[in-house]
Amino acid sequence: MLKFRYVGQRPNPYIPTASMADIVFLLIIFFVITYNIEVDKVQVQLPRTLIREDVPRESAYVSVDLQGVIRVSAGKETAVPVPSVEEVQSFAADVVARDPKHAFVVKADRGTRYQVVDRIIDALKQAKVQTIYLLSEQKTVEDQG
Amino acid sequence: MKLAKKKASAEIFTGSMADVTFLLIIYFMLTMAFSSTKGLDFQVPKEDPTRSEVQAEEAVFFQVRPDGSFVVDNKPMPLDQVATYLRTKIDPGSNPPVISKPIILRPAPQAPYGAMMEAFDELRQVKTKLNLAKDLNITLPTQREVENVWGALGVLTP
Repeated sequence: MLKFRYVGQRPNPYIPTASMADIVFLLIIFFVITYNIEVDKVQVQLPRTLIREDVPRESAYVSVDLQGVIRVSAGKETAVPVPSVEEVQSFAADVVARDPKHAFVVKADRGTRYQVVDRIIDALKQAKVQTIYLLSEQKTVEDQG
Repeated sequence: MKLAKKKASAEIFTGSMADVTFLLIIYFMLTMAFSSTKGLDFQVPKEDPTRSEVQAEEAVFFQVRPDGSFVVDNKPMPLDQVATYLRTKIDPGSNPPVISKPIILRPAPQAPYGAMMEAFDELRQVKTKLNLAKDLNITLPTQREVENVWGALGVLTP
């Protein structure tokens, strides 16, 4: 059997990792582009629905937790608590004055009494908001029983 | 005697670049997984003075009780029977089928928000379930609107 012999210096075995940074940078660019900044970090149990539409980026948020604390955000800054629903209306009117088509997202706990959500929706309607999204979780087959 | 000067390497060390970028990736992946940015949308109807008033008998009245149960046109009804009931409301002679009657969704003030969303979700699915040509005309009047306008018309008196 013919045997080949290495003539000269044997090269060190190594795995080239120079392109690793390029791949990882590409992944980072992907994540940065598709990343949605969570302006409202209040943990609530969202209602579950089968139909779910994508919320436009940088939509304004109105959130309400089980304790009834209402928070608002115009979409870029972190949500801040407001003392009453009347404040929601003036906040929404201000946002709509700048952009009449700005979408609003209502994020409420599924156990909240509808009365609270009703007053928020009413405040948004009075502020002439055109599109409202009611944030939900995906309903699964197990949920339907 | 002259000491030989060791020449510094002109290379930028990039060995840790991958580590740093991997940390960034892990951060983005973790924070993305927890954000929920989907929901049920509804367009707020524009005020149109030329629109005719809806007569009470023409609309389908969908209530959500404080205990989270549902009543459609004054009949208690589980959600899975709503589509079957609404089949009877299809406009006679319409092909493809259409339900032009407005659906008035009126949850009780004490009803859980989750129950209202279940009802709204079910109504939004009716279009697919009954192969309707267009979406249902779902109206979600607020308490103030009920008291101010609809109440005056006697539309929502149960």
